[in-house]
Amino acid sequence: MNSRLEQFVRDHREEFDGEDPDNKIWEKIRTEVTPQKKKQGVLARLGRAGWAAAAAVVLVAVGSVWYFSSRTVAVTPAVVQNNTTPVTSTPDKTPATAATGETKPTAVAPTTPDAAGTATEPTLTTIRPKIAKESPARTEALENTMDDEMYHYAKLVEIKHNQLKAIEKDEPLLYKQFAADVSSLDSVYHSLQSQLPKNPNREQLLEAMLQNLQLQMGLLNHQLDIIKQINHSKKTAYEEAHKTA
Amino acid sequence: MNAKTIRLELTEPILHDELVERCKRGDSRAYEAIYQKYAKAMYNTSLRIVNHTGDAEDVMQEAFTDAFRSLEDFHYKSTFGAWLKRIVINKSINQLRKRKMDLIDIEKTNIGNVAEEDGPDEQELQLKVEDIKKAVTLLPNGYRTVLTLYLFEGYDQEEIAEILGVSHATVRTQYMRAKMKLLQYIKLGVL
Repeated sequence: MNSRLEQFVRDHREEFDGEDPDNKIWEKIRTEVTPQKKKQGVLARLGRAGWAAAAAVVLVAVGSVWYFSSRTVAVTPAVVQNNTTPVTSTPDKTPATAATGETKPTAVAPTTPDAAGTATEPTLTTIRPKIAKESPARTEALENTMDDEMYHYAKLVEIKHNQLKAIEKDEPLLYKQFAADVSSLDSVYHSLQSQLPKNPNREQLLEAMLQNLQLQMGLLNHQLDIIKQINHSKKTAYEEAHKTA
Repeated sequence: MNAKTIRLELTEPILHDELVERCKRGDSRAYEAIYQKYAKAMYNTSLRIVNHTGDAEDVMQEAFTDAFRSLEDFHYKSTFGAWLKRIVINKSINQLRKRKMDLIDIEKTNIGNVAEEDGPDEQELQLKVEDIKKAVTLLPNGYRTVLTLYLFEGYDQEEIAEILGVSHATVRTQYMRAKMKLLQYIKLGVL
């Protein structure tokens, strides 16, 4: 059977493979062979740049939290000024009017600094004495429950902080970024705390502190979630590498 | 690649293929490199058997996907290329059978009244690559499969018998008849 045709084909073998396969074939194979990539989720697919972007998002979130909490802090001195002088000048105002018609503006006051300076001035002066003079026991009780709550959150934050510390060795860069985010919130907390002894508006301050602790906890939870995802994707990648090896 | 080179590869120790090892470790870039290295040859091999570009593309997709997924079954008993080609050929034959082109039936097909003795004289024919390629596409499926496996893919008749699940003698006569028909197409200039 070894004749001219066979010899010819052997001599020109390369020329017989002239057809080019369509490029879309590889695309189909690629998606079939590496489907895990899609399942891994967004976090696992982030590269170095992706992580930086994620960190930036967290930073912006923290920044806005800090900005808003610093705004409330900025308001407090104004409240302090308002409170210190007229405490005794308006004790004759009835508790009823203070409680019904004039409570609403107080809620707005902390978030709108310009309003606090003008329109809400009388309300703040009337409300504050009301609470201070008429129900000192109630405020104390309120502060006590707030203290309890604060202690509870502080404890939780501490626990989460320790959990976060566990990644310091594996992901030092990420830990540094995470820790920086948390500590910027924490510094706000401490500045609030330092104002506490000299500020008569304790309730508002305590509330801000409590809110700050809650934010810290939320942030820590978020960071721990991210770490969990990283660990998970690492684990699957490791398992896969071993399965194929 | 002809039969001689395949046999040579089988007797000589086969060096570990770095690309294949990278694939086994799950390196996706190695997958692509392997594909780019073998795609064209495998596509042409499949196309000669299935005789249909769409089917050949399906075969390629299935064959490469299967090969990548079963790399742990590849133990360097042959080269990676030979292993992959065997997968491509099996898939191509299955594709033909899926289209109800029964390869066992080739025995019954009209062989075109080409008697071996009055076939065209090979020595007188002017052989051209393009003519041969076109003539191959005109062959009936059974003939075409046997002819391409022997003539282009370099398998010997025993290997082809095993691949197709027929006897050695069947492969021999099938090849003789397929070749006669091919030469006749070329001589008649039906291209």
